[in-house]
Amino acid sequence: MSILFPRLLPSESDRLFSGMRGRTPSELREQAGNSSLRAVFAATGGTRVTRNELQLLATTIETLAIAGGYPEMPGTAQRNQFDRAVARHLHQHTGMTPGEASQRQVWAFLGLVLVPHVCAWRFPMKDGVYVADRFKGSDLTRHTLARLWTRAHVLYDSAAPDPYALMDAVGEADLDQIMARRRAVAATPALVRAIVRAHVEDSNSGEDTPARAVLRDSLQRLLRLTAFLDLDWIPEEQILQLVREQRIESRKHLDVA
Amino acid sequence: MAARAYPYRTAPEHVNAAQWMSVEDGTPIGEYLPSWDYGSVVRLQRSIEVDMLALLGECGLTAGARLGINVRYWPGTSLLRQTVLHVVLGVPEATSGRSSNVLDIEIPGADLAAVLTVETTLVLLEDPSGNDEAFVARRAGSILWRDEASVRLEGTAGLLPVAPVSFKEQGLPTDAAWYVSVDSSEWTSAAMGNLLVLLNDDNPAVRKAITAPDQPDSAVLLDALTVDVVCDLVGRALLDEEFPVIAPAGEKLSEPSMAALVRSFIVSFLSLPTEGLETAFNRLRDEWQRDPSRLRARAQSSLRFPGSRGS
Repeated sequence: MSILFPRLLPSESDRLFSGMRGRTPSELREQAGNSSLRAVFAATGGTRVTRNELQLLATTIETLAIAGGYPEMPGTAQRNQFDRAVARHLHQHTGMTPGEASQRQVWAFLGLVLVPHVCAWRFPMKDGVYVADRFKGSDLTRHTLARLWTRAHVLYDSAAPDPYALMDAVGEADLDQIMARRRAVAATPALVRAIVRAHVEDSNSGEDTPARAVLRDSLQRLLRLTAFLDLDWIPEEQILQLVREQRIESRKHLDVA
Repeated sequence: MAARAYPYRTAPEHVNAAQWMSVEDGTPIGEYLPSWDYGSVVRLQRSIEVDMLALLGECGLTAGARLGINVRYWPGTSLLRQTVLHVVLGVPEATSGRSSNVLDIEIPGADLAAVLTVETTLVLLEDPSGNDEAFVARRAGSILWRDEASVRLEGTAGLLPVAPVSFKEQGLPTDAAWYVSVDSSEWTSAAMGNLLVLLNDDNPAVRKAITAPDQPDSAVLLDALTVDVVCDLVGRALLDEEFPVIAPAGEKLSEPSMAALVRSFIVSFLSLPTEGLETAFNRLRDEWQRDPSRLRARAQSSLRFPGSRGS
């Protein structure tokens, strides 16, 4: 049975986000809650998550943020550590289905009602203003929590001893390049896993050209290929081979340049 | 669908694909699928015939090349695709050179939201001849033909996202049946983010309609809701001088805007035969001011109210 999450009404998303202007994470913590009168559930199709379960989720996310230094400004390593831990938890323990995870208003509830202070800590305001995408779910590849669930879902490898190990293999900037900025590539989970595996292999190879430069160049090449290739049916080992070939081409090109 | 230019020859005229049909009722899928939720399974079927000899020849591939059909899907609000079927095309029929296939797919409802898009591709699996002629597909996975079908899901009302809530707690009229929550100043925003039909959980008749939608009195209530939502949204558009009657170029069905939803209501339920959208909109705007009951009656007639769920 699917677990249904509250969906924040659009007008309430706008109202709550407007009210965040200029407020610190600690101030936002005072307005956090596990319910909203302006949130609703899907009519059918599952069991509604309880307030206690939502509170437990909020407490877990907050605990992971505290481990990352909350409420002090986090460094890169702390942000990566927080992202990986929350991604695992959201994917492994919330019972959220891909369909429910595609609902923008679900993420708006989590970002604006349940843990707005943690999202504000993870993506701090600039000049007194927060970025709406990080809270409202208008772009699920950029929402503070939705993007983590999506990463965990795409990189999950049921055959591995630790199914979430691939998430730990690359940093935020590299994953962002793959998931948010090359969406045609990110749509094929097996391709994303192959890209991460090949990147890890290459990072350990001791070559002169930085692996990150090779990753970015090879992503451009793969993007061009996915315009006319359907890779979704191809075994992962063959996709990995294709990615390795593109990385070799990228390295040659970058070495010459 | 945007035209694609491939870096090799294709021959789409040699692929003949029927529309996707609903396995449940044997009819072609239209703009929306009724009765979807996370617990359901969407079962679709289509037949597809490939003139293999002609297609291979025109694409520059050898007779030994192997082809396959792949079907993948994704929900409108997410970019994550799933493959649901992969078929290797067998040896074509000797005299005609054609390969006929029936594609049966089952998509778990829990994977979906808002809009379902199903893409079918005919791909090269391998060409063992090692053919290196220019402008000939070589890579495994090269798409030789594709098509895409989108259908709206969401909620028991088919077209619309609905949610049961306590009107008492929401501060809405306590004994009402439903409330259409919409930000109509945002016509170009995604309908699935701006529109929600709230059903009053405190109202026993509504609660019964949610839990037992197939009961006769529940069906009448839900039919009335459908008519009311169509009239409510179209009425708002007719009163708004800034409503974009003409769809902007490149508007996507995979994520319909509020305006696109209203336009589809007008075309599906309120326009006259052979009447264009703009003409229908202007006529309905006059009618809404002069005689709004007539527009409601027209909606009832098109939606076969009451009794559409039993027919």
